[in-house]
Amino acid sequence: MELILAIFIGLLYACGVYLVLRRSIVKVILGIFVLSNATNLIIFLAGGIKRSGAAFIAEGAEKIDPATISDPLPQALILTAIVISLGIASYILALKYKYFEVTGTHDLDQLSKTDQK
Amino acid sequence: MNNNNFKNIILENIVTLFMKVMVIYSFYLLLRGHNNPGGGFIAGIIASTGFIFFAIIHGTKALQNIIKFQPQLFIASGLSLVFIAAFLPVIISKEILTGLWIQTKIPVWGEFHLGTPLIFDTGVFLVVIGVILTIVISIMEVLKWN
Amino acid sequence: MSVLPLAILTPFTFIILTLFIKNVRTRNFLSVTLAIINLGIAIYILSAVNSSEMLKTQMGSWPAPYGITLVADRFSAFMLLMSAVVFLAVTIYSVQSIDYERLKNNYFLFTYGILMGVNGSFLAGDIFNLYVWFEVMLMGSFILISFGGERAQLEGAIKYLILNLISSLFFVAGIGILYGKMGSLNMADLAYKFSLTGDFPSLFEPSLILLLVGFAIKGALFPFFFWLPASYHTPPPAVSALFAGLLTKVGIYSLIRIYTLFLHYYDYFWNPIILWMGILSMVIGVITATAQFDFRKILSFHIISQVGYVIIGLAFFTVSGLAAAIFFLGHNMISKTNTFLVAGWVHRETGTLNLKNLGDMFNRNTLWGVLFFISAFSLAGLPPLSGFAGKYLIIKAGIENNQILVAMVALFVGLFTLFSMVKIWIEVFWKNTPKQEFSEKELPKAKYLPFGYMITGSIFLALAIIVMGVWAEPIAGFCEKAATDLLNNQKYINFVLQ
Repeated sequence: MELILAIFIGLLYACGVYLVLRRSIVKVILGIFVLSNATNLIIFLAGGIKRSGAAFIAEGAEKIDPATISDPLPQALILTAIVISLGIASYILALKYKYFEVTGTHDLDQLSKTDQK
Repeated sequence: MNNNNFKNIILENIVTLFMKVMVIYSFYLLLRGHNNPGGGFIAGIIASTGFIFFAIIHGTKALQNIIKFQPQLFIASGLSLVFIAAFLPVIISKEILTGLWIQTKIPVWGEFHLGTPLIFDTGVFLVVIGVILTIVISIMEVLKWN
Repeated sequence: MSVLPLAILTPFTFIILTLFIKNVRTRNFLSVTLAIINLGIAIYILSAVNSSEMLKTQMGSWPAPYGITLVADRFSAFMLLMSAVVFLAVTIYSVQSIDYERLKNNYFLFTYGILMGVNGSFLAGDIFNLYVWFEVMLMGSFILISFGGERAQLEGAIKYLILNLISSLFFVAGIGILYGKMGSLNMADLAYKFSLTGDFPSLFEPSLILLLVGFAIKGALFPFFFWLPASYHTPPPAVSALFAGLLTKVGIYSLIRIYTLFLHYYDYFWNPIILWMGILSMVIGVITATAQFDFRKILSFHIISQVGYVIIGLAFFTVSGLAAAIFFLGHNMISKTNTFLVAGWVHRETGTLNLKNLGDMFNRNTLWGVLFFISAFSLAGLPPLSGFAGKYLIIKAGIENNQILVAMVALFVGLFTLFSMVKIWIEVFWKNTPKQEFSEKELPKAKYLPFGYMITGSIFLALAIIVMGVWAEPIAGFCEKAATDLLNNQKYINFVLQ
């Protein structure tokens, strides 16, 4: 399972990097989304994958055996990262829309106006 | 999309019902939080999904009539709740964000458990709804999806 | 109750209040007041840290390796104070400098978002928490850099956004791998576990390299600096002053923190990397700046070169080197911000920042000329300003550390900095205004600028520069104590984990 996930993450990173290197802004943005998903999966993979229960202490019990639950911390980290990427996704799409409205182009090569002064 | 002649009465009624179910369910998730799967963030996401469905069918004007306040006000009140929940323990000289719990017995209900994490979760719930509705409403208005 | 959370709660309070308040004047008043309160809190934390070595808060009363910890040692307290000074000056300046439209759209909400992120990152004792504060800061800066939606701003925003997002991804991937290997996120706990591992670096290098690259992009170090000069000259001047003062410095702060806590266990691998990054940022930043003819672009390139000084101070890894790095970081925050503030005034007066079209600003307003003189020549390193003390300490540390060549390079870079600053001085303030063949439209007439908010903010920073230059000795003594604490990381570990 780890190996499959690792290969899959590698593929996602490859796709993300390929998309980020494109000229169209839309593809760059999609590339960033793919990269952030791949990163979330890395945290998930690094936290260790095993088949075990959720980290909830049963009603009435005082504690739980750590061997029977999976580590909840990477899930919490991924949740935080997902929330952050939600905010960034909405912002970046709005920025893209505004940029297209102002300049009428999707091409990153047109971004050089401010550089040649 | 700006087609006022097109009205689908079944869709409109179903989506209204759907939204109500989702909002009520989100309250259920919010209250069971802390010790069971659920909590402010999930509840907020589910509630705002209901609102988004409603907005897609009825338009943003109708949505704003339903939620009564500006979404920004949701964010502000949610943040204030978060602030209160974070600051309450400081008043009785504990570290910030420490959970305070009240446990009482209510005759019919059984054991009753209330604490600052619930206030915190409610704050998160309101912030999530506010943020998502702000995003969706402004995008829909810019793209003229009404 | 510890005082540390107040540094985060103060900006948070403003963010809540400003969402309820609609009146622009009330908001302005509130923002300046809370900036002063924030400065007061920073001074209080500094004095508390100075008397009791370190402060910590365990959020939610969960003990150290499990809960989220806020820690302040001398270094963080110093950085908090400097960022509070910069923030207060920029806030006062913004009240007049930012146009009404932006103020109405809640400009200060986002600057306070940045302040919250910056204060949080300086206090974070938990590496994932550091990432979250970085993101808070970045969200504020993303919105500010595109706020207003002019074409140049949007172009700058896209470059800034994409590269910073990628750096965040590197950072968070590094954290994930580190957590998988070490099973902890608390920085003190991580450092403790690293100290036990002995000589077995290859397991950790992927995650540490990811962290280093993440911080290097944020801090605009040598191979990763290109986003900075491409974007910092596009937003309104007050915004670029805020960015120049606060954002890159947080990346450098985090780099110093992780280097002193755990990277130095594998010194033979990391030290040359850090040293060369510092030297090359210093040299390349200053040389590329000489070719520029835009006021703010020259200053942006100088940010890169000055970050290099801090990094070579870190690479010496002695008490004197780190003390010099800390001093220089503080000096650079205030001086750089003030030069950007003067650039904002020039922009407001003439509508352009191209050196070729400018001239004769000294006669228009002498006081602003003096303010520019103080801050620019502090950057170049003239006594008795703060830059002189900073550069002196760095070069002295280099010579003490037998890195004579590095010290020589630093001296030559100082010469080039002086060249750039003299260039701006002559072109903008000294020479006569050029004939109309350069600019198409007529320059607006000199406005009589009353003693307003803009100049108050700038004077405040200039006084800070002079204070830091004249009373350099006590400040350098404090930095030396801070550096001793940083080098003795066992103290930090014991304090947090006890």
